[in-house]
Amino acid sequence: MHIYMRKVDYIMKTRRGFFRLLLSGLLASRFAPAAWASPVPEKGFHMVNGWILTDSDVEVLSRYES
Amino acid sequence: MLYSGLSEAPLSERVFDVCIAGGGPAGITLARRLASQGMDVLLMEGGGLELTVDSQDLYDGKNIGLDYYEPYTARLRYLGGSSNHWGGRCRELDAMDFHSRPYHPLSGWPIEKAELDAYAEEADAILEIGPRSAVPDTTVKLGGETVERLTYRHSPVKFLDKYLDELKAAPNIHVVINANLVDLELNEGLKSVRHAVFRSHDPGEREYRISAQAFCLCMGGLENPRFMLNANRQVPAGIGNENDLVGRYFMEHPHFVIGDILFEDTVPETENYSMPMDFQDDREMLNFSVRVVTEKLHLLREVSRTALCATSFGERLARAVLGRNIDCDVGGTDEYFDARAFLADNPVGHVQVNTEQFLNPDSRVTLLDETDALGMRRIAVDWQLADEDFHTMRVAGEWIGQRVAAEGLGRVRLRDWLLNRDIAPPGADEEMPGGHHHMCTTRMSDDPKQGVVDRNCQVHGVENLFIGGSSVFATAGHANPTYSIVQLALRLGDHLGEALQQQSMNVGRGLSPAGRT
Repeated sequence: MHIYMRKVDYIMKTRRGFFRLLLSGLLASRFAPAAWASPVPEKGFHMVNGWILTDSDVEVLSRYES
Repeated sequence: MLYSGLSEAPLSERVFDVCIAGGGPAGITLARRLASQGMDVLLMEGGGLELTVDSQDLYDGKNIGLDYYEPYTARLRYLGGSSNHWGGRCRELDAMDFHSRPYHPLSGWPIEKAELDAYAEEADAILEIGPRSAVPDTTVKLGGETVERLTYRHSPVKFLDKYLDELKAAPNIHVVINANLVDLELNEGLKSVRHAVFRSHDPGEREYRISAQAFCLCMGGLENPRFMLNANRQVPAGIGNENDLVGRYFMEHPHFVIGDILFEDTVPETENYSMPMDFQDDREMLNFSVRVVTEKLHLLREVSRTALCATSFGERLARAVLGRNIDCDVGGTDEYFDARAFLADNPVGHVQVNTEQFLNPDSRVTLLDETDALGMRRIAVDWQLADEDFHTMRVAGEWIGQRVAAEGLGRVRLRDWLLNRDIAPPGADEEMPGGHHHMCTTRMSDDPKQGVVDRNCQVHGVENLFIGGSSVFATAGHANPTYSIVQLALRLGDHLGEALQQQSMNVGRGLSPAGRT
């Protein structure tokens, strides 16, 4: 399947907006914040399930998770 | 002058100034350059004036390394070479590409970028692109950091279409098509080429032994080493291969999609970004660019795809062989209309990397036992990525992910295979792993233990044998190679012209004459 069609397919199936879509990927499995948030080299960023997120993203996610 | 076969060409009792094997961008550019200096040039092309099964089959072989393009689809074997289906993207190598970097062993060219820049104006004219100064790279702020925004020029030139009439009319360029190089005969000391041996596709036709002052291999980054390894009648390891370097360091420009982007609100135009040398040095990265690609649906493309998918198998096969792959399992007008409305509310994109590859001797071209119709052993392509390549792609992905997030454009998710080395990167059936760029297989170095050709593209140890094309790249940067191929061919033409003229004035200096036989 062509790359853009694959993503279209994913979006079509999930049918969610930006942040909810982001959350759906991040929260696909349950995990403790200490385990799933790993820092990337630049201060202020984190990698969560492959997503490169900001401090504020992680803060929002932590609230969502709790 | 153009001859449609070996038997028609005036080849006997004649010593050409230069015999060139291969009529692609390198060979044609070199022939024209030499002819402009009054040289008598023989340009031998293995294919004809269009794609044929007999010719293209000689490119068949196997991938024995990473999942890569089939060797017979990655290039075209007829006059004009792969320029008959290239995308036309032009960019010169960066200055940093010519420098040695401690974290990249063997890196660096024996020449400076300025030696190729001297041919920029002529390369622009050949490729019919405007001057670089009209479309310079710029710097922009992205996520609070100053980054390089790269620009490319796009050539419309197909060398066959552009130069066929000129080649036919040129009095001192003798173009012979359907002329396949099958051997080089060295002199007794094995230090110079005496004859080049050519055959047609007709198994009943005799061989032709060509005499010239100098011989140039311009058959491409895969075929140059394949031929040299096959030419083992007098030198068991193959001509120019005393140090077991021919075919090694095969590299591509990894083109993988390394991440997906979910845009927040504003969907930017597709852009190419990079960072300067000190940034790369600090992180021990290879040269790279990343393309932030906005996924857009194109109605015309999907209408075209729908129409093409309804055509006969033969038509689709012809397009596929010519490199214009069509995927009928996806897309089409139905999916376009289904997806368009949703994409408008949920814009997505992806990050595609384009990197220099690490000089890895285990990434190489070798030979299979199986032979082709001319009796030449077929090619085995063992393309490999090193840890340094994955490091570069990973760091590039993290960097652009941070910039995109900091800018508030959206968020990037890196692909699983980049995060977990147990997962293989996608192969040619899934994505574009590389750019169909075949480089460094007869790389340039002044040290015969580190390269096959010297700074003048002369094969080490063989006085009158030269190589043109991307196989001589010492490193490959991330720029599409054709522009540099043309620059190098012009430079080689000047070097050869000067050397041959000097030789004619002062026998014993410069090249060794092959002599009449």
